[in-house]
Amino acid sequence: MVSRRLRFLLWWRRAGMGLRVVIFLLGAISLSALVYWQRPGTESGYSNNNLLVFLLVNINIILLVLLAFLIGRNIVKLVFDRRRKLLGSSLRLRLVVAFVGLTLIPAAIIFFLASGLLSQAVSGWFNSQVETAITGAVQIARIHYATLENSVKEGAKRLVSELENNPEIFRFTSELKDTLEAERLRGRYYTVRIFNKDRSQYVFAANAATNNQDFNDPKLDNTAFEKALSGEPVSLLQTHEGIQFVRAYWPLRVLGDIKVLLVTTRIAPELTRAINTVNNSYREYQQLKFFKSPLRSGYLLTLAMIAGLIVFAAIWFAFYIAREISGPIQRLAEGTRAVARGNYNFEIRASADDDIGFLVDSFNKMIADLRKSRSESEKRRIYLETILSHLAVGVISINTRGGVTAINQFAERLFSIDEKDGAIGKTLEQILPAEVYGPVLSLIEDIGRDNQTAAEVAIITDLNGREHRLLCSAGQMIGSGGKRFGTVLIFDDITELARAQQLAAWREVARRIAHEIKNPLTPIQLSAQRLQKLLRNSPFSDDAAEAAHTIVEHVSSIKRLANEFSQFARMPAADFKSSDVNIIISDTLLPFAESHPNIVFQFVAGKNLPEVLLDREQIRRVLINLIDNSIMALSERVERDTADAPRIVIRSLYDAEHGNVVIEVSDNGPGIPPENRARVFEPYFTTRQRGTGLGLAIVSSVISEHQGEVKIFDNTPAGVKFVIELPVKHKPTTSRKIAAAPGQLL
Amino acid sequence: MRAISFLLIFSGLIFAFPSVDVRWGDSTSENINILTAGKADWIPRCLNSGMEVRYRFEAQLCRRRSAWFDSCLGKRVETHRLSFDPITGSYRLVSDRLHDAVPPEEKTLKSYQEALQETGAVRSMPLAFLAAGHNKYLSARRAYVNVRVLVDCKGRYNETLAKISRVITLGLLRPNEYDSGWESFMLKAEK
Repeated sequence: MVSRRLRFLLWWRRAGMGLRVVIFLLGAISLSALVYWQRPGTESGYSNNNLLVFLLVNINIILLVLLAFLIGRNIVKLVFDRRRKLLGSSLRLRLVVAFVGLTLIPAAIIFFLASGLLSQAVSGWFNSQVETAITGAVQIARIHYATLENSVKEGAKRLVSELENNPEIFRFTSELKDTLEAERLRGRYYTVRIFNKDRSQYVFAANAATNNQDFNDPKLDNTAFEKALSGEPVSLLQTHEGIQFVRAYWPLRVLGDIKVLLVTTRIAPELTRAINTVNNSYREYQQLKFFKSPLRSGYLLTLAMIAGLIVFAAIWFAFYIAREISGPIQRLAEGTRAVARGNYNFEIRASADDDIGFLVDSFNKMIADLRKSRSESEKRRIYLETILSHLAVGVISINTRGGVTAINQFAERLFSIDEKDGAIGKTLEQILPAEVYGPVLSLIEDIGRDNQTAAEVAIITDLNGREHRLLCSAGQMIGSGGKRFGTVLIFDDITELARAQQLAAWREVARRIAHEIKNPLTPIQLSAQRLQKLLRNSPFSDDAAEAAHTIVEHVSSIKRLANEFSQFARMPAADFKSSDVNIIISDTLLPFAESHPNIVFQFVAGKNLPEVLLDREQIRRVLINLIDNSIMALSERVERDTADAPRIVIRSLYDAEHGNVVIEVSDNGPGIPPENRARVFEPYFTTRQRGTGLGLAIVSSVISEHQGEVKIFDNTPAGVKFVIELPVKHKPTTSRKIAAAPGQLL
Repeated sequence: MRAISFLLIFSGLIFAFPSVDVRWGDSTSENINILTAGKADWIPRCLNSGMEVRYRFEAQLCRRRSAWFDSCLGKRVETHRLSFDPITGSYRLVSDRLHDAVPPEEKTLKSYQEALQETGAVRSMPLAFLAAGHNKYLSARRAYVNVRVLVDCKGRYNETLAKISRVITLGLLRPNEYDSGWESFMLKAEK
């Protein structure tokens, strides 16, 4: 419901001024028509009103009410805007005041002048001379009428008296008629008639003109005739064909019967017209006099209404103009504020094709340019961020005060910086480990002091429980004016690279040693066996046999060593297949459990482990090496006769957060001293007399090839724990191996 | 003072609501008389101010229908126009019963009382005249006569004022017209 109302309001706001006026007028006309036709008793011309006037005055009223409402609303809004110090409200207020002043003052002057003139004019209608003249004319007409009435009444009375005193005359109609005629002529009456009770004419005397139909006297007045029959004389004025007649109905009692004598005198048409005119004028004057005050009030009210309409219309127009002018300015101000806040999607609707419209267009164009420029710079930023985030090196930029201004994901991971806390705004000292911060600070100071543009330093540090070799490069960031505005630091983790190089070197050494050693071993072994055979019958045969046996045994030992070297050097490329880690672990562990009953083997298999892309043989080899390592450690422990039973625990689990399958191999042996931990993965490093130092090197090499990590921790309460992290999905190959073309994302 | 009189007239018209009464005009129940009753103090003031008092009697024959609107025949109208003649001091009454080609009947009445007796009633309006040939309406069990009277004070200036007043009252008020509203008169007593 609310949305519908809102939609209507939005539509009304969007509708043009012309459309609003048309809707408004149509509404007003419809309302007026409805009110008009709802009124009862308007048919047959009775109470017939001027529909047009009715509609117009009602429209005026409705317009007036609506205008008053609109103006009131706008005034309230203006007051509130002004209080809130809204931009443009001051200009709007000034414009409204100016318009209202320019309209109200002349309208008020005109109204008061016109009302004064109107009052004077209305008073002028009723001056004493006019009233005296009209009253005098009526008085004359009354006297004239009274004279005529008296004349007919006297004539009728006299004639009735004469006829009642001489009833015998009714036996002679001609004599009766002569008597009536004589009286008619004497009194200058129009007609003298005698009627029977049944309204039939008994006898009459009439002016010769009555022979003409157009000059007939009026019909009998029933009421007067009845009264006369009842004995009551009646005189009255009757109108016939526009001519007035004064008549006297007189009761006439003769010969025991009652008749009615009717004496009629005719008022001359000219005189009738004059009397009518006087009559009408008098009546109109009476009406006018009666309605003097209401009429004046009515006219003044109408005048006030028109004046009010003009004023209201002017005020409303003032608001409209003020809004038209101040609206775009206000929107411009809002636009500048929005842009200042970083909102570049702000657009002002052009209201008109004028100066303000031009200004609005210019503003919109400026915003569009800014938006485009911002969009391009944003794209560039995203592009750079994408490159930085995909770089296999850590990048940190700092400003001249040492505060971090940018850092990529690799650097965050490398230095274990929590993304939530972030590094932006912090100092290098806060985010870098102390053993890294010192060399980096020196490097920055060096390039600052020596005015170098770039320098680099190698740092060996322990990060996340592993030794890392970092190559840190620092470069000065110099602006267009040649002014230095910061330093960019690039941390290249060359641990794996160094390890791979070391491994490759060791493999080469191993291959050569194996080759060089294995070649003379066979002749040495054969020669020793031959010497033993030659000296079989000599007195030194026993000693020779022992010496030859020792030689052969050591040659075999050297051969085995050389074979292991050779095997390490010829490690095949991994064949990755999706595999279940738990199966590999259990398959690997079973033979050990059977062959070492004195050791407790425990496998805690993780549930819902995803399959991992790996080389099964290599991982099995890793596990064998680790378990072998643990068995060796435990055998040393057995020799020392420790109290707890020897135990090897293998645990698998899924680290969903990092997407890794984790394999933990722990034992409760003597553990690895901390000083040796950094070197245990180096080839040929061993603390055992018979060890080759290749087992953990192979482990490290295989796990690296699987893009995983192997870490060493102290086991609780004793021993060591190797933790292998294998990613479920292999990461894309880093840029170290792919040279990206300019503009392409890696 | 005049303004007060004016207000009295119009306030009288606004607030006075005389009723209309219908009676049988004869013992044969073939005619009806329509009478107005109630105070009408504004009428003499209207006449003495040179204006004309107009009566309009409207009657129509109807019959009730079950579960539907009543059915009514066309209206019959009788009008009286009463004015005061300041020269003769008499009242002139023009009555038009049929509103047809026959000219209206004119009467001169000597007194106001006579005039009131003549104007405030329609004496003997034949039901056959109302039925206009539709005799089934007369024989209908639930036939009735709808009657109303409209009275107004007609003058040149109060028409102007009436328009102004309509302006003020949005056309909802007609101060110089009195309407009794429709009154129903059952022709046969309902059981």
